Amino acid sequence: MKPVAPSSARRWMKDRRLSLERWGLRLGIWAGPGLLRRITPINPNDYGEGRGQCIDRYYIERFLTEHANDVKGHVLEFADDTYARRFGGDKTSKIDVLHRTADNPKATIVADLACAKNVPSDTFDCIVCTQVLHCIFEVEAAVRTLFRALKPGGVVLVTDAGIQKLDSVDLKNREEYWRFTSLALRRLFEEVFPAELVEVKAYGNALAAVAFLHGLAVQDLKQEHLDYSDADFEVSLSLRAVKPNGPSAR
Amino acid sequence: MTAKGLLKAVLPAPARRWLRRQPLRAQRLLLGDSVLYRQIEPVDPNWGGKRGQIVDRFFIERFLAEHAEDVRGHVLDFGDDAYARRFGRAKVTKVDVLNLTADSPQATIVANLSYGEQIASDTFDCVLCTQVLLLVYELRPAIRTLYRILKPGGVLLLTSPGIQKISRGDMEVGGEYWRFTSLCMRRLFEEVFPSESVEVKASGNVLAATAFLFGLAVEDIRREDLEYDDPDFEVSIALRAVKPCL
Repeated sequence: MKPVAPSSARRWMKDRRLSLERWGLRLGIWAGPGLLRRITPINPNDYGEGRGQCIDRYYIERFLTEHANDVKGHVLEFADDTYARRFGGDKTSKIDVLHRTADNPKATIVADLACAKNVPSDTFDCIVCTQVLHCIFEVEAAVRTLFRALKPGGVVLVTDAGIQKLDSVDLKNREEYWRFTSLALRRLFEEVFPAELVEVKAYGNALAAVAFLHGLAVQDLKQEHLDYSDADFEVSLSLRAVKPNGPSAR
Repeated sequence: MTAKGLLKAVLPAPARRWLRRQPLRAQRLLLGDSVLYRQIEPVDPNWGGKRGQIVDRFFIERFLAEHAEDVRGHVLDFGDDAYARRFGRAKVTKVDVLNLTADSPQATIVANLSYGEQIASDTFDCVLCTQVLLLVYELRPAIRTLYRILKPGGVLLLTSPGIQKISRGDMEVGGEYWRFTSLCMRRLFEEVFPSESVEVKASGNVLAATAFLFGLAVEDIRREDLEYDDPDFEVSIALRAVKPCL
């Protein structure tokens, strides 16, 4: 098939197949993939980005939209500057991108958050730290670095995974350590930030969790199913913490 | 003679067993996959315990059965002594049960693992620490305690989940904190135990995770499907570590 059909035709057919599959899923008449029979994910290739928007991104971006006002001034983001640009817009004056290794061309700071000598202190008005902490073994040290790098009054917006499959590439690179509960995330940050300035929220439910594990996308589920929040299923976690003004740095 | 008695008299045992399974099988067929897609709440909020064996117990008990030889002498178990007795049998000379709070009737030691100074050092031939570490916030002191209380040559058998829903009960008592990856578990224990004595194994696949999260039981899926390990889905992580002899 591949050598004959032009790529646009192949894409068209792939889209048709996906939308048919989706209607089948929604109506419940065709559950083709066989959830209770298959031992491999419906989409083993990625976290869902090949089918649409990743389910965890739905929660992450909802959280960042709610707190878009915090993304302003001098912003630090990790790996690339997408969220800083998208949610900061004109409010940002400068964006730095931190990466652990020097092979990322977008990186302006190369540092390991856990032993971050290269990260400046009292510098950032906002740190957008999405899906970073689970890759760091010494996560307590990383949280201390986040606190140190913030200006007094600065805000850190954190998201991380509660239920998520492993990334075999990350695992091979020794970068997959944790899945947190909301309580763990709260305690990690309350050791450094004042407790009253830490807000934690969890998102997800059983269906969202299973769909995410199978690599299904937001477009595969009904929105009301994604928005339903079941406290026992913390698929995604978000945290907002503020560094207090004044010389109270611990 | 009742109908049940008649069946019992007429049918051989395997046929009766087959018959007994049919209602559940029919229910499973009806439950099917399509329902799962609209199933936003777990089928059984009790982890699948009402339907049969809970999925993570399959992995935990398989791991303990593999290492049943290690369960001997003076054994420490957590919460209750079920696993120490079941896998240790006659090899066990004494069982202690550690619980965080005094409300477990079987508890002989009430302690927080992270501050377990009252537990004597070099005491246990085997420590069975199943599904405990996820409840401990201060991990490193807890792991040092586990090392300290083992006799030289003693064995730690530990399991903890990689994918699991929140346990409300645990969350409200002492709190629930972590899901580990096998890599994390290895690094945590290699900080205390010699690395050559630490073995880590992750089990599970997307089906096991799906069933576990939806509250389906081992009986709801094919057993051979549980045996398949997909490295992307670490549902249950098991660790065996040995304290070196002096």
